[in-house]
Amino acid sequence: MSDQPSDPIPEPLLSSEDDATVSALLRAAGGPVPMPAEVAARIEAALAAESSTRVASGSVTPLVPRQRRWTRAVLGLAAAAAVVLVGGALVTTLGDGVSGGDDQATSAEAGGAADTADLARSATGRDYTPAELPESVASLLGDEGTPLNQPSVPSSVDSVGPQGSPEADAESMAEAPGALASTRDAETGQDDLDAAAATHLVLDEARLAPCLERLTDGRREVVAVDAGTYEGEPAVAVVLAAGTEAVDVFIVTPACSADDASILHFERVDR
Amino acid sequence: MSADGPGNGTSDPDLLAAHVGGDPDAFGILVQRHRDRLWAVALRTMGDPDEAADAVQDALVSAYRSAGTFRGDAAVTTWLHRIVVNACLDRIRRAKARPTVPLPEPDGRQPADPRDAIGARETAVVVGQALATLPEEQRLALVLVDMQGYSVEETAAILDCAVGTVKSRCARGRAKLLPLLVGLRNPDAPTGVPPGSVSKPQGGGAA
Repeated sequence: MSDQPSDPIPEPLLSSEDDATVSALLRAAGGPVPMPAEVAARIEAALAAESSTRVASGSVTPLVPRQRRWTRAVLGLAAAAAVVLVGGALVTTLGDGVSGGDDQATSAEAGGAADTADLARSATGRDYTPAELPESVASLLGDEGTPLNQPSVPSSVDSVGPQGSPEADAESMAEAPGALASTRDAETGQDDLDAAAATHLVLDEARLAPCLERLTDGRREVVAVDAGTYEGEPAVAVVLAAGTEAVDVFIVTPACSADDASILHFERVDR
Repeated sequence: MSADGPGNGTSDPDLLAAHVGGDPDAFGILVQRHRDRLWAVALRTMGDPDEAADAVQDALVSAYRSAGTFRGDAAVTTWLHRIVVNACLDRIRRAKARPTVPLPEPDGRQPADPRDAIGARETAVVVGQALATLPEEQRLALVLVDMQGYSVEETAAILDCAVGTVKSRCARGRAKLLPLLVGLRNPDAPTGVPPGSVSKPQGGGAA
């Protein structure tokens, strides 16, 4: 360090008047600064992750590294994802989300049954707003807490391989929870690019994994990830389990990464 | 300052003890109670909101985990501030080790023309830029003492150093800041402080 920590007597570097002047200038520029809501939400989420870990482990200071649930979930998805391309709408479901399919068991075996069972990834194009977030999330998760698309994805989804052969028919397109917002305006290339960025974040493990790591610190169960919009702008909703009665919803931009979750909105809503 | 705001009626030590005892809400109340002050310290020390947010998050998660080690030999707020300050210093020093990350250079350059600074926002910008030129120890001392209003004694406890060290860091820091801030309006005077109306720092600012 450049100063002398052991020096008990300050050197008379300034006159007392000048010293007081600088001090007053600093004081005038100081004072309270409210923590931005985004930061408060981030910290609340990080502490909630700690809390859930503590509850699970029964320890205040758990020393054993927690299982990285989302990582295993993502790996499970990579092994057994069912991808449906319907026009611009991409729908990916996992595990229980695809009723009656063999993929359910496959994904459970590949990724760990308990952790992957509830994860659903989708690109509904849903527009999330603060006012309607509880309803949107309830709709996303389904009335019984089941993953998205279960009622509407045709059974043919089970026969679609990871390459995503676009064999769904017009009926399934109509029944899909929602095409990407950009597809409503297919002639606007930039909109497509923006919306595609959100979709790519959801479907690209290499990009999604660091984003989820940032949000969960590897310690929380990811229930659902959905590409859509937030107040009209491309965004991804990440739903994390918060006990059995609630979920934490993070709305992030497609730029969400390991360094910056790029949170637009955070809210805990009842399941 | 333990019973203001969230969790009225429960002291900071009681909240921390409740957290250690398994109360799932106690630490959150503690955070809500103090987060704005912790944020202000981090923001002014780091000079960047994203870096400050990372530092505060790291610090509070660390505090959450290590609450059981709190022995009560300092105020809970002092303990929290110390963890935040250390998280800030960790990030600053890690950033310095990464050549690709631009850093404030403590080379004494005048970052802006303070004569153009008018109003609180401009003052804050100029002060922030000037603070960024200081070594982090001096910056922290001035942030805590001058900008956040902590006593020298409390600041010494937060920074885990002697009271005289805090005074020394403040004096050296102010001497370095003086030429960068002379154009700002003196908040305690009816008129501005004209450049040249103050004496030059003595001793060459050896810090």
